[in-house]
Amino acid sequence: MNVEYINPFTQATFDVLTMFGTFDPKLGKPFVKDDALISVGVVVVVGIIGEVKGQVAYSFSEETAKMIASTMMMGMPVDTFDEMAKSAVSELSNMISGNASTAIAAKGFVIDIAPPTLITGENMRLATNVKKSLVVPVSTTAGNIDIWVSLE
Amino acid sequence: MPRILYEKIVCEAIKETSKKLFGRVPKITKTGETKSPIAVESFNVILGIVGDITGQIIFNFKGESPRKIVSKLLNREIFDEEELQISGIAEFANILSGNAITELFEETQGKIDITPPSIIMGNHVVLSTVIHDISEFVLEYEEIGEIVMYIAIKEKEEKN
Repeated sequence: MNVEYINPFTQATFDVLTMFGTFDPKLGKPFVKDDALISVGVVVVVGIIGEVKGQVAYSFSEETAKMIASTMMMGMPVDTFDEMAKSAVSELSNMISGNASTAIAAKGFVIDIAPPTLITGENMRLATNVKKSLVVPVSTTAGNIDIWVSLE
Repeated sequence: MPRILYEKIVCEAIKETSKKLFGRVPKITKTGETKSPIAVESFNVILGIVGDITGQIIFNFKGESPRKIVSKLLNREIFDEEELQISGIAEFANILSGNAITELFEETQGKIDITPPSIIMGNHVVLSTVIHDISEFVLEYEEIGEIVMYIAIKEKEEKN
């Protein structure tokens, strides 16, 4: 997978999370996975189209999702992961993907993103027809976020 | 263009693709409008829509339909070969979306594109979309079963 498509996502993740001032994001060492994403509770999928195609998926636990939603909603307590909280978490994923796609477009590539889909469930897996994904683990004060970049 | 026309184009593309693949046209019925979130069974495919309209098309494969579709595509009966089902359904979704893109391209002069499929499996799966108004269709295939299709689209808002 071309690093020119990956670095904008790691950079955008760091920049957007840092912007909120409370997440203190720390990027872990990226690694390659050649099987399905196994969810730990919540996955947000953003489809990518253009010269690069595929998906970016953001995976985290429900507890982490609730803490992210609370931060996104100016510290409002989030006890249940309801539609408002889901909307906030989707918006964060959209912001990261949007910033990354803008950076990729600035390098001269044609790229656009679809709106996010947030998915919850038990024993949930996400598969794509891209054979290998690059996973970027991010630790934050809200918990761990795994970013799966599956582009070709 | 009204949303209903986009939906009609997608439905016609599905019928044509199904005829080519299986020799049969599914009965497609619009069963109504629903709201996000939607609770679905195990096997789902999400296709993102980008361009003059944005959103998602979501296919929820009921019961044995994924296995039966892949069996038809491979022209042999498959059973518990999950990886084969995943890649087969991804290919099926790719063919469907490819034909839908072609139809939408002609109607919109190339201002719409569809992302590659994401396949979601699991129990008690709930999907939340940013676009809350969702049209629900049932695709009834003889010898295959039912697929529920959700179309969540809206015209793209122009940035100032």
